[in-house]
Amino acid sequence: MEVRPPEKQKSLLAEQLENCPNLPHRQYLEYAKFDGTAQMGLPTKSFKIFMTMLPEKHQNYPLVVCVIANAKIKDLIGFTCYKYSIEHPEISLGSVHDYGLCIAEDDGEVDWAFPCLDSNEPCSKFGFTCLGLIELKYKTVCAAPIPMPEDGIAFHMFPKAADSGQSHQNTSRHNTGGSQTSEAVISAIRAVNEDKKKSGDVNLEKIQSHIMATEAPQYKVYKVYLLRKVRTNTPVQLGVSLDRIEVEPLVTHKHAFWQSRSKYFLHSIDSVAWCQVLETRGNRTTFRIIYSPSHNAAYSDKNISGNTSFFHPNSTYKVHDFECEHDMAKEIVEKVNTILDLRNSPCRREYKTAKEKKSQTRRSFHTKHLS
Amino acid sequence: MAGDGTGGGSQVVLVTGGYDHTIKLWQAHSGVCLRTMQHPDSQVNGLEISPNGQMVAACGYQHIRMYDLASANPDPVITFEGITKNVSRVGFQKNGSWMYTGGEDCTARIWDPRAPPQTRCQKIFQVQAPVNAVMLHPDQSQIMVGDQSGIIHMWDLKTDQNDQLVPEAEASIQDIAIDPAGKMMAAVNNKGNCYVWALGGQAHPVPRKHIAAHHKYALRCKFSRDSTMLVTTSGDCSAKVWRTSDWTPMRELRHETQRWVWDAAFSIDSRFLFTGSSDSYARLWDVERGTLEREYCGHQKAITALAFKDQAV
Repeated sequence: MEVRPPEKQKSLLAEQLENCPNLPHRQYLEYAKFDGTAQMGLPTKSFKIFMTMLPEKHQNYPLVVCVIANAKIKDLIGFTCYKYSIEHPEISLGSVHDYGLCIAEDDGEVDWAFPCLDSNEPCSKFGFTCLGLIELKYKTVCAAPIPMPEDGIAFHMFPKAADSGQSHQNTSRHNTGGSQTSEAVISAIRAVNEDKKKSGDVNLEKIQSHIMATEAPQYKVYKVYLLRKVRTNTPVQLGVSLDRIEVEPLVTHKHAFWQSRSKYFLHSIDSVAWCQVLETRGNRTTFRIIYSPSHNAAYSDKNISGNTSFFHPNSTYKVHDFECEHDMAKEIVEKVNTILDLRNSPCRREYKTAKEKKSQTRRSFHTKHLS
Repeated sequence: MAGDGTGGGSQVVLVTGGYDHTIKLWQAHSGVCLRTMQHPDSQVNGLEISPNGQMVAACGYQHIRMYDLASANPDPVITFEGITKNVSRVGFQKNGSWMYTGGEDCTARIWDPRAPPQTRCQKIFQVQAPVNAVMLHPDQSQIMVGDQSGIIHMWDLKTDQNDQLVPEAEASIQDIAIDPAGKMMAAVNNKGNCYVWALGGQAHPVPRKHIAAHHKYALRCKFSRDSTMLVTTSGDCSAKVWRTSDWTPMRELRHETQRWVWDAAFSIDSRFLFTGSSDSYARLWDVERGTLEREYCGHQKAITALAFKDQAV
């Protein structure tokens, strides 16, 4: 066979690089390796982090970050900056050394009575999952609870779009201070967005799923029916949050005080493996939540469960089936799945792997059968 | 994130693998890791993207696995079983109709990924020493097999005959490269030396050049697509780019934190070069300017293999 020398070609990579100069996340690059969602087999830990050092309009939703469990608090700060600057490249953050993490309420209110978490401690040591990122100089000045500074004042990390032309500079990743939103960066973001548009990525669904992703960690309660094999369906309240799924019966008549509340279930989100719609009949949709009682260790003491969850071997899965109207079912399934993807817990990964294996055996059996 | 399986759909694909038993797919221009795939029980010795860009093949200890780049599946979709030792290199035939590997079981093998599992291995070429390097000639008729005893076996696939080259006694061949035009062959060894032959015309390769490329272990060599450059990587923490016109050094790519450089890949226009290093970073260099353009961070341990597929515009 004759070999013809390849023709000279223009590279798509070169074009993409030209349209995409240095992006702000690069200064936090060294923290990328703490990403907990990109690990296989390492223990991870998830946090809801409120960017309380940013102006109020950027604080509506916490950033959910999952890091490997042995990351230190300073690594968590760095990874938070890394993740935030990928998602919001238009907002400049400062040096990781200027920030601290404080305990926060579920609504993002920082508890100023406590000091920042020690930045050299591993984050697995702390039980709090809701934290606020603060700027350290405010913390040291104010011992008492203080109002957050007004938008625009003292936020030196928000300079006006500065002189451009730094697109080909190679700022080392050690330069973690004073990043600026240059025109180059803005044009880069535009280019990236253009790129997405071209591939038809930006559609309503994508935006919706983004809204889902940011809203998903918020605790929300739904009124649904718990399906049972023998008895009638029970109206229950289904609560979904970043940490857990609760199923609480709605007491229909208040004189029924002798009815124990033993049908109250509580599952750590890390024991939930799967959630999917089963079928739709008219306006009613049934959906299923699959969980593994063996991953529920932390909550099992609270589980006064009718479905006894004791004495089962590892990796057995149990299910709850629910029914409600279609749109709500869709919302719940999406919310739960978004949270499960964010957490990417060992239980979910194991279940996915098992499911994949099962479908593979089925497939290979099929091919064998054919051949 | 698991659901965000883009990148596979993109025409520009960068994958890296290493000692942390994972393979990562990157958005090359932004440096963001898009996906992580599992490579259980073994480091990744070699990576190669299939010619149609759909799959990436990874070889490691006792395993060759193929992963689907277009889906979000973190597990391999095809596995090749029955190998007892490390598989060092993997490559594809031009149309992707078969795959070839070389390994420490002293064999080079040809595989048909579409055959039933038991009959996937179609041909075995046995040598006396563990195989470090395999390289298919662009005319698709010959595989160069480099082994730890220092012999390059030229395995003719049509006749099943083979011929040998011994560039340097008692030096293990670490990698072999042939330029896309099929005119030059290069090999590097564990003494850091690089040997170049002229191919074509004559039946036997004609020795052209010996370069003392590195003063330590050399690990890889690759030609640029336009055949004007050869990159050699080494345990001396550098990658060096050589002009093929006169074999003078053109660039020495170093970084203060860079350790052993295990693998490298050129862009389609031969302007950019990716390298992967033991410091767990992959890097993108502008070869003309000698500047570092991007870094890829996410692996927990050394990166020992990478593969890149560019797209022409």
